[in-house]
Amino acid sequence: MSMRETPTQSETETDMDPHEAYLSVKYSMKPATFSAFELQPQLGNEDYLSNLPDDCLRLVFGFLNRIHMKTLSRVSQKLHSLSINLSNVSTGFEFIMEVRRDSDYIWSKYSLQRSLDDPNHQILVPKEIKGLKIERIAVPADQHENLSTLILSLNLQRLIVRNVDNPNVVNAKFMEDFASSNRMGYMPETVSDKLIENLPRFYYLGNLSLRVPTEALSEQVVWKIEGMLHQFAFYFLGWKALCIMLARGVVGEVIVEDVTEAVAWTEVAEAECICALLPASASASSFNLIEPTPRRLHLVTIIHNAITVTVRPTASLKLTKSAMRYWLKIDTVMIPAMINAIDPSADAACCCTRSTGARALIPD
Amino acid sequence: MVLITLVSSDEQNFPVERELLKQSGTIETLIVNMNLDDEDTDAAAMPIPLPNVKGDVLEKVIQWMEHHKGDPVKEGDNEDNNAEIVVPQWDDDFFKPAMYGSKHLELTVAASYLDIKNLLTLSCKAISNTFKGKTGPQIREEWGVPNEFTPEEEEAIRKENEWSE
Repeated sequence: MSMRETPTQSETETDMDPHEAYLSVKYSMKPATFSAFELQPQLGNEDYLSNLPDDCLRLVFGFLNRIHMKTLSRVSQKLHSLSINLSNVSTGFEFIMEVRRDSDYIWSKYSLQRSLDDPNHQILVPKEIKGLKIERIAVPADQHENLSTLILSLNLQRLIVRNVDNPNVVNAKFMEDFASSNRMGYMPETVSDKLIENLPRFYYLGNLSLRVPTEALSEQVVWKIEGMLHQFAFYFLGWKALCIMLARGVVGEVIVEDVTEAVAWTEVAEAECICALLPASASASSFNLIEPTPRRLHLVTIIHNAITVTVRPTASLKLTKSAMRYWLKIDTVMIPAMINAIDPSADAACCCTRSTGARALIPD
Repeated sequence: MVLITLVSSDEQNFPVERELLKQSGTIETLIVNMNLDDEDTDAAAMPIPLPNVKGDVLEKVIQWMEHHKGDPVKEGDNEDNNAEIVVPQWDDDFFKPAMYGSKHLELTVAASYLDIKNLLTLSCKAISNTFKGKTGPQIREEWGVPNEFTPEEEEAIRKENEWSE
């Protein structure tokens, strides 16, 4: 590590501007003021920066924008890991997601940031995390249409909470039929059958609520939000799968509150589709309900400036692996979530790409 | 004027005006909980040990608190708009002499430990300012950070950020 030249003592003692004074103190062996404090700075000799406690570094990083953070991520391993997880560099709007469980409240706040050098690039980073590890999701311009999928993927990770020992059996034929109606076609390319085999059984514990505040958005990004909501509406088939799981397993309440006229038509269509699928609108026998129970679905087409979708099960949802295969085929957003549940090192959560040539995930 | 003695890790004593210590959340909590500012009790004479702060750093912290005596003390989480925070000239001059050395690090850590929010904020802001306009290698050189990345890792990071470049 190279050391800079040390100014002479005479240079440091002459009248000089503050910057020169700073340099003189910084590089001289005998500072003029600051008695005990400024023992000689050992420039380049020790890694003081990386030795800062993480809390302090995060505070430091909070003053930097994404460009600076990108630079810092290349400085050292520690700064890399911290900077890529940093949240407080918001230059765009904020996206808030909440996941509630019966008694436990897990929440996270995401910042959807616009790139400073290219507003077409955005990045989704966790702003606040409590008790859960989450990855930063980079969203290149050509994947903006997948944004809702990515967001929901993150959100759904929290739904997979633990294994169950005695899963109930669901109607595979129904799930297969439902799969054929899937319009999404998203399928991570990194999923293997072996991985699917190892997927844990799980159940869904609590409420999931998604809210997109739009009132604070600038006009420049509203189109993106609308696009996102549009995608969200299409993603509703994924939600539909969730609703069906609720319907199949236990009592549930699905509340859909939609918002902008731009997407209302889609939501209406999807909601109607759900109505058709829910036992309340169809014969219970066709769904092989374990506990056929009254449920209701609310659809409010235009409410203020936000979209809220809430699924409220009143008991646990239980699935078999076989059923999961079908569901995963349908709701491929779940796959990266499941991968993360098994292997935190897997990066599939970050590569939810469109692939219409979907990998076969055919059940036994 | 009530003086309270702070004792650094190297057992140096620093009598400090009670009013100044209100800037430190850690010390203020201790004083209040232990009635150290009650002149009628023996507790008032009790020195406060600060085992995590060395004498030269504590001296610097006190110097900073003296200059900022009477400044409003932040409470709770810092919700300020970071972009609007400017390091005043006095503080800039205060930090600069030791900016890249261990002393600034220790001062920052001490501010965190003592919960002196204004000092911590300004110190971290000053550190962050040193990153701006620099390349990764320049930051490494200035701060003495060894390059831990293999060429393969550096390439991977470059690719990771490629979409935003």
